[in-house]
Amino acid sequence: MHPDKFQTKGLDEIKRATESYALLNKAFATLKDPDDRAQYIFGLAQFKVSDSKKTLPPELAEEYFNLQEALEDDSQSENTKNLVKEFSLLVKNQVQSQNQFQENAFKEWDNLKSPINKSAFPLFTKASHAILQKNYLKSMAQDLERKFHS
Amino acid sequence: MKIGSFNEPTMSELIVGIDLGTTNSLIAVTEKGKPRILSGIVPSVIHWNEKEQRLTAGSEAKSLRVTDASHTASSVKRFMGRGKADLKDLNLGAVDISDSTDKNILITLGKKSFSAIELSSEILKTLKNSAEKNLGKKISKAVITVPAYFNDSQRSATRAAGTLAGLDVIRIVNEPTAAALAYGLDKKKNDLIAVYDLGGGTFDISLLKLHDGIFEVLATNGDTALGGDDFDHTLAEILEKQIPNDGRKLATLQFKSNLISAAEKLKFLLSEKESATVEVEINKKKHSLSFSRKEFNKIIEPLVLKTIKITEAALIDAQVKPEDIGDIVMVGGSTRVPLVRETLKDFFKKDLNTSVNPEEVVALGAAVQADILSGENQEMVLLDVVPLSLGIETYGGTIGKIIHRNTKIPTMAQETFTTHVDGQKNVLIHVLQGERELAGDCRSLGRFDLRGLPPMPAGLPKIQVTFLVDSNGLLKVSAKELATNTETAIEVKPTYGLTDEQVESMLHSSFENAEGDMKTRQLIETRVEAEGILRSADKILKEGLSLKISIGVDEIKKEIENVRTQIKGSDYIAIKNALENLEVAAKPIAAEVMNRALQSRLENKNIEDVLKKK
Repeated sequence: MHPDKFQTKGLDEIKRATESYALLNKAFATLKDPDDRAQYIFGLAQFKVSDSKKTLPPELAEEYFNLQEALEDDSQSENTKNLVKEFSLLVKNQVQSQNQFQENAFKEWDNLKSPINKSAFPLFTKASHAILQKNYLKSMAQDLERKFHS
Repeated sequence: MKIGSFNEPTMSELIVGIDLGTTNSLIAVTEKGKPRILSGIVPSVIHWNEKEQRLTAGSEAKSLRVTDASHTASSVKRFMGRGKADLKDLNLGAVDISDSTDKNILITLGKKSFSAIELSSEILKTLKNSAEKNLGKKISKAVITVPAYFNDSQRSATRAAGTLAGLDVIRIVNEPTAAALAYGLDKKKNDLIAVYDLGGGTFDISLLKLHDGIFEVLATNGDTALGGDDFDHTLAEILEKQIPNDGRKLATLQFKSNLISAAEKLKFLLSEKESATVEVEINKKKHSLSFSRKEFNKIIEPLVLKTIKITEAALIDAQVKPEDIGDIVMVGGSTRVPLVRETLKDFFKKDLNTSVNPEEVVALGAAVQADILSGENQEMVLLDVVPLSLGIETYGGTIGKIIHRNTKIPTMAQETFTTHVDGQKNVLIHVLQGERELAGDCRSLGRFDLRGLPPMPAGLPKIQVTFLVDSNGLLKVSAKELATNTETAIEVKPTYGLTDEQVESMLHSSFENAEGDMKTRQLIETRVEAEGILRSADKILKEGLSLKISIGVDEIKKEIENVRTQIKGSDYIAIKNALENLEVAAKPIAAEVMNRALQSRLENKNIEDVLKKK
C-alpha cells in the first residue's frame, strides 16, 4: 500500500499509491485525534453543533480576575509570573476534565453500538459541549499568554 | 524529467544513498541487505581552478583552502534554497557572497560566481565518480539526505544539485530518519527513540516509534542554521582578539579562513583534553593560541541550550515525556563535543546511545532507504512527516494553514478559491511555509498563477486546488475549476533557487554532458513532438472527412503508419524524417480544411467585422 513499495512500477502507479496513501494518512490522523474524530462523526450523522454559551468555570473566576489585574498592573513582575503559572495549571486541569466528559460521552455511544442517527444526538450534544468549552478555555489561556509576553 | 541511461540495455537498478553534509559527504550502497560505505569521507569543500576553468571537490579542494581561500568554498549547504534576505541569519565565515540575488546566494570564487546548487553538484559528482570506481559500474539513481527541518526550497535545491550531477534523485530523505533506519536495522525491538543530529551546519531532533519494521516519525524539529560551524565561528571571533593587531589589514578571506581552521582544530582537541594550544600563521608570523575546555563550554553553552529548547518543543508535539524515550541516538560530528553529551544526559536522565558512528550512520541509512525503494527490502517501511506547516497567504497578510507540521507524508489537502472581479481570468496563490502567524514572517515557497479560467461573474468560479506533499516532503499543486470542470493551468514562480528549466539548461551546457545524453534527450523530445503531430493529423483527417475532402488521404494514412513504426525505434533522425514526410503529405488537405473554415466564418459576418479584426 505504501508508495515506497511501488517505486519500481510505473509513474501512474506511484501517483495512485501516493494519493491513496495520503488519504489513508488523513483518515488515520482524523480518527486518532479525539476532536477531529468527533467532528467527523458529527458530520456523518448530520449533527449540527449549536453554539452554546461558553462560560468561565466558577473555579477559575477568581483567579482569572486576579490575573487580569496583575497583568494590567505590572505584566513582568514575579507575582504575575506566578499567577500565570497557577492559572495555566488550573486551565490544564479543566481541559482534562472536559476531555473526560467527551470520552465518557463517546464511550456511552460505543455501548449503544455507535448509531449514526438522531438517537445519538443527546450524547453528541454532551460531547460537543465539552469540545466547545475546551476550545474556549484554550483560547482564553492563549490570550493571557500573549498579553503576558507582550 | 529523467536524464540518464534511457536506452542502455545494461542499465542496473542500483540505487546509492548519499549523505550530502555541510562539512563532509559520504556515499553508500546496500548489498544483500547490508549497507556499506563506498568511499572514504569526501570533505564538502569545492575549489575553482581559474587557470583550467574547472571545479574540483573533496580532499584536494580542502588542502587548497590553506593557501587559496579566495577560490575555495566550504559549508555551502547553508546557502541551499536561500536568498539575499537570509544572509542576516547566517554565520558567514570566510566567503564572498556579494553577488547574491533575491533568489539565490552566489558564492564568488576568484572572478566567477556560483550558486550553492552548482557547488553542491560538484560534491555529488565526486562521490558518484569514486563510487563508480569502487563498484565498477555506472550509477544513475540516488537517495539523498537532507536535514529534517529543511523547507521546500532547500529540498528542491538539493534535488536540483542531484539532477545537475547526472543523478536521478528518486528520494529526498530526512537525515535523522535515515539514521534511525540504519540504527534500527538489526534491532527487532519496539521502542521510542530520539535521534539528536547536530552536524556541521544544521540541527535536527526527530522522535520515532519503531514497531515491527515500521519506522514512524512522531515529530521533528530543528534549526537549519545551527551546527558545529557556529561553534567554530564563535571561537574564531574570540581567538582573533588574542592576536596582536600590528596595524596590518587582517580582515582578508585568507586570514579569516585560517582562523576558522584553527578554531576547528582547537575544538577537536578540546573534546579530548581539558586545554589545548594551536598555531596559526598570519602574515608569515606564527601565533600560539590557547584555550581551556571550561572557557569553550562557556561560549558554546547558549548554542547547546538552544538545541534543548528545540528538543522540548518536539517532545510536546509528539506528546511524549523525556523519560518515555528508550534510546537517544547521537548523529553528526558535533555530538562528539563533551558539553553536548553532558547536557543531553542531564536532560533525558539517561545514558546516550553512541554505538553508531555519528559520521557514517546517515549515509548508511540512505542506502537502506534506497534498498527499500528498489523493492529489495520488503520488511521495512518509513513513515515520515512534514517538518513545517504549509499555508496560503490570505487577505490581510496572515497565513491560512492547510497542512500542519508533523503531518504524516504523503498527505493531501484541498482548498476552494474564487474570483473577485467579473470575468477574472486568473487567480494568484501565494504558498508559504512556517509556524508564524504573519505571511511576512513565513518562508515564501512560490506563487501559483491559476490561469485560463472561463469568463464568469465574480464569485461564481470554484477553483479547487489540491496540495499534495509527496514522500520527499515536496509540494505539488494542481487545480481544477469545478463549475465548468476545466483543468486550470498552473504557472509556478519559485521564490528561491532555480527553476526546472534553469537546471535543465545548466545541465546541457555543462561540460560533462556527453553526446549520449544529448541523443537520449533528442529522442524523448522528438517522440513528444511526434505524438502531437499525430494527434493533429488525426484531427485534420476527421475534419476533412466531415467536409468531404479526400485529397491525399491514403498518402497521409501511410505516413502516419510510418511515424508510428519509427517512434518505437530509438533513432530520432528517422522519426524526424518520417514526421517531415507526414507534414508534406498532410499539407494540401490541411490547407483545404483551413480555407473552408475561413469561408464559412466570413459568410456569417459582414465585411466591416472582418476588417476591424485586423
